[in-house]
Amino acid sequence: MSQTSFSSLLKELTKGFLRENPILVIMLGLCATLACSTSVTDAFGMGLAFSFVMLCSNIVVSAIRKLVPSQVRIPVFIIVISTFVTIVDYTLKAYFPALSQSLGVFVPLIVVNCIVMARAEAFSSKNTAMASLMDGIGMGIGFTLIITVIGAIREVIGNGTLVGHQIMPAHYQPFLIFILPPGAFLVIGFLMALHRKIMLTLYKP
Amino acid sequence: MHDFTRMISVLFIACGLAAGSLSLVNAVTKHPIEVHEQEQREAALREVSPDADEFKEITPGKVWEALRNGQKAGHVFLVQVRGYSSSGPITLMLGIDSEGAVTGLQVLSHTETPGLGAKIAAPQFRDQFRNKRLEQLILKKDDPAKGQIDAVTGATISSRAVTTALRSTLESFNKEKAGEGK
Repeated sequence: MSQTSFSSLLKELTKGFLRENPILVIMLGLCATLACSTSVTDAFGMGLAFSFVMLCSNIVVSAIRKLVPSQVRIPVFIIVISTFVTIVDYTLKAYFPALSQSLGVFVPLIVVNCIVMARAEAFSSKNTAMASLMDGIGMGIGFTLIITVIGAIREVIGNGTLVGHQIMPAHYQPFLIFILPPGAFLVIGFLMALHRKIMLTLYKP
Repeated sequence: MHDFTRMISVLFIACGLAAGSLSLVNAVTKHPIEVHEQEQREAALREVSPDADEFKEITPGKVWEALRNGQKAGHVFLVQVRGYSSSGPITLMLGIDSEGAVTGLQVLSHTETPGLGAKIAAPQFRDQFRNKRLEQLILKKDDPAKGQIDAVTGATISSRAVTTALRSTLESFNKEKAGEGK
């Protein structure tokens, strides 16, 4: 893990896309995924905000990993993560008020999004800043990708629209359940099955 | 003992750095956030009372009198009500003309569920209030005879909260007006 050759860094980057995808494989922080994937726009916004926090906290946690005594590492991680979340929250409010209104309460929820915490504990507290940077970018991309796909599926089936534009025929009666939380579980479940299938064909000889 | 002091100092420094960077961010973003809120409020005033060209604050931050060419044209109210979400109220702006009919409704802020209750802020829901009178301000599913308001699908509680809040605002305003008239 400690070698910093190019290929191992690339591996840290790409593992978040599919192999260790935060939503489909690690399956932590599903609360934010459920709540923010009712439309493509919200999902993508949440993905970007999450990626930023993930990236910053990974770098900082990894940079200070040798200075922090292990007994107090969890409180220190929480302080680091919540600081970045508050910065994102204020920045959105000040410069992107529309997005901030639609994401509303969910930005502060990134604090308790277990993926950020889990990556800090499981990866960046044991690896170099460069590897943690790659891990953060990879996890961010993986999260954004899957939550946007979930958002697209839920918006089309549950509301008949995509990015706010009507795409289903006018007589289409939306399946309301896909906008409700159970719909998110259904979509995530089907995506997980698909993901397993793809992984098995790709990696099983 | 050495471990103990180290633990304390690390936590102390971490908290200090976090507080320092947050106060910096707060200082930078405070002004833009206030400007946005002010702009939003003014845009909302104009939108809920489109005929008026001037607004006179009667109760600061709560009630405005809408004027057109110096003549009374109606009122604008800021209404807060608890919706479905427990983490914050719905803040509404309601405009009425001098006859008491609704001229417009705006949702300034809310923390309702995205995709469900959040649709109370969409024009499809808000626009149905226009030109409605007090007795029509009730959900169709609550009073099929008089009700004129369709609830947002899957968000009856949020829709009902908004409708009831508007109704009670108008009721208390009418009562006050009647009291003054005597």
